[in-house]
Amino acid sequence: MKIKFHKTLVLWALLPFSLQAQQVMLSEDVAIDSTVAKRGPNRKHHTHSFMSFGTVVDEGSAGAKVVRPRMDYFNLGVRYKRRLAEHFAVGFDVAYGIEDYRLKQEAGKKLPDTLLNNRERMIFSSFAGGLYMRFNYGRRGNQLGKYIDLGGYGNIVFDHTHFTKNKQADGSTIRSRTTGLNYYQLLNYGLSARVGFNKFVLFGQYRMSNMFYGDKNLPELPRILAGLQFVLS
Amino acid sequence: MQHKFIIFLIAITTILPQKSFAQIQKCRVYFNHKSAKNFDAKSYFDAKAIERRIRQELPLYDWYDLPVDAEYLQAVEINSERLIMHSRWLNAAVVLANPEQIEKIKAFSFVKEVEISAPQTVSIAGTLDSTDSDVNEVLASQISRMGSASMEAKQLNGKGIRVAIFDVGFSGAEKHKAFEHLRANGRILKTWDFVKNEEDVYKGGWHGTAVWSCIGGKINNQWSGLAWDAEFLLARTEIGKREPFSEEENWVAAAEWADKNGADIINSSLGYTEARYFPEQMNGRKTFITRGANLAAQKGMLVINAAGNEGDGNWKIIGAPADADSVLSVGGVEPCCDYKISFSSYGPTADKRLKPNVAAQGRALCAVANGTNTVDGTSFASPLMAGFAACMWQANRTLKNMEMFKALEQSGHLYPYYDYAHGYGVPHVDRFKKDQTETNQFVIEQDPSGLELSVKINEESFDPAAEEGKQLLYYAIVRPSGLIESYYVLHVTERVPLRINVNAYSKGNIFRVHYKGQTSETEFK
Repeated sequence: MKIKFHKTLVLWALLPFSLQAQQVMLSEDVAIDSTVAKRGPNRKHHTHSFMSFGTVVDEGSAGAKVVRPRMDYFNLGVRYKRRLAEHFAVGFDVAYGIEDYRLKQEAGKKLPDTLLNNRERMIFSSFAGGLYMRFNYGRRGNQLGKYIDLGGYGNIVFDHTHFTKNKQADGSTIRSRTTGLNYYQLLNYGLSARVGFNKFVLFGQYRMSNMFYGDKNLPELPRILAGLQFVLS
Repeated sequence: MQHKFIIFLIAITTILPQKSFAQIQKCRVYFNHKSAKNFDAKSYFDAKAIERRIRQELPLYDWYDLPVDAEYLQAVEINSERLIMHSRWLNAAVVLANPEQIEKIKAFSFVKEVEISAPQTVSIAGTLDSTDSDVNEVLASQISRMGSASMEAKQLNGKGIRVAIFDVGFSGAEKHKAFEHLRANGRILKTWDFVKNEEDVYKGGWHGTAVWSCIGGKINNQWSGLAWDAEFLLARTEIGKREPFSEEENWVAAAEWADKNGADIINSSLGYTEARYFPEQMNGRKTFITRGANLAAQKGMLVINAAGNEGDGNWKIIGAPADADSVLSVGGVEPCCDYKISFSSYGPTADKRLKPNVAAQGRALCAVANGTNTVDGTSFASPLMAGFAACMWQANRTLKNMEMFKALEQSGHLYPYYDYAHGYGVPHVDRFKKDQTETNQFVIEQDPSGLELSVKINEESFDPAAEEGKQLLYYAIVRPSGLIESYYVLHVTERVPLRINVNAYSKGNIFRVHYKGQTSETEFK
């Protein structure tokens, strides 16, 4: 726990209605009315930020297998919750996310081509929006408590990059970076689920849409992501 | 794999919530009747408990002391998974039961109410933060500011007073040097771990060890608490980091145990806030533990509880059971000065009663598992106050518990002034049960236009070189009902430290000022 030194409450400030500046050690207005707050983790409205780290669960379809385990997913977002009943709420979230897949270099690889490299990655940056239903269980005070969220999400991918790295016979390294990939779809969507324990959340998401245009005949990257999410504030 | 994930989604959509709602739950079952007629108080209670009742003119026993009907307990035990505990005071049993069993229990004619309880995490009111403060200065001031020298001269040391401490555990205390004198003199009368139902309480954490040392410990050959010759009952009621609702049940069970074993004072440096409750529920009636604490006071015990360390957090106000009207809630002040230490929780209660009632030093040098440490928290202000109360009760044995409660408030350094950060301030032995002589330190003046009120300090009461925090003026805007609208503490740097615009305040409200022992007020007209 943090050390609590005495250094608060020493304010050089104007007192309300006071006509003279003073060294104020303590100043408190008492909430006279008994209005119940509407905002809070277990109130009518609640908004908080979050950060997630995830990894793929499946290794992807043949020809687009990825290296596991590694951190393939990161996002940072804001979530709103509207409590409708003691044990039920709905809400939405918006987030910025990065998916970073390291492709396995093996025979039969097809994504994005059949060439084998020393290293190869595909990175996608997106803005995501999600809707969810929340089922809380257990008694709790003004806390998020224990809950299960079920919902869906949609991503707008605004940046996609393909990286390769190859060592040459003479010891030099060639790195390539290709952007504006023409085989990647702008939008994708899927289902999401979360199990939360106050500020710690286990999440999983299943991508229902294909990542690549059908006419490109490219195998799909992993559809299932899972990881840990932290409620920040 | 995709199918598996969809199956997983379906599983957590359907099975888990249902399992959560349908699983065995912990319930408090309140009964509506007690049929016991014959109760042998003398064989049930310790002699000290009988003495306390006689001294405070309380009946030897009342309805609350009668045992819970064995038939009721048997019935709920048969119709539940497990009977966990029962409380005479609250005429209740705590059981584990499934929904079907709960319905059956509810149907019994002798069952008044079934309250579902569930595990939750909570915070302990005290914190154990080490600081780099001058330890000797802290140790000296933690008891001297309440008049330890006078008390020593009067041989006031808590002798004959029985203090029960409820905490998370007393790790290391069984061998700690700080308690050697208590062990040698047989002052540790009983211990009980209400979490594990066993005698050993010297485990679970050193919060209790630190708290105990603030009542009756000895550190570096100096007393760290005032009641170093008191008798002690040590109870473990807290589980620790994963703290379920059962801790409140443990607390109430421990209070009944303390009553039975003759405790005069209960010190509880524990508090329950947002993990279980909302601020509006801190009304002295809502929580199980608060109701239990009020019943403990009805039995003649003085219940002292830490106000909490939420003053600089989101929760901000006192927790339960510090919200109980019969619990002496103790806030924390800085070691240097008589103003609130930042983290100490504020009052008032949700129903606008004064809390905290009094204050003590919020930083203390304490015994911990393997030595000593300077720690912060109202957890340590509360036992410092318990030590003081034990000494005052030793000297004034005829006082009833609520008379002692009032007398402690009246001995606060601010009395009759109060606010929701300090209560009546830090008690001192020299002010205890003594008429306060009104000092003449300042006047409240109104200018000829009637628009301005000013506080003018007498020349001899003003020190232009006073250190920061050593020359304080407290003032409050108070409604006629006694409810404070706003309050302030100023460090006085000039003889007229305050001028206020009368028009900014409602007519009928009171402008109340305290400075160096003088409290004066005037009404806005």
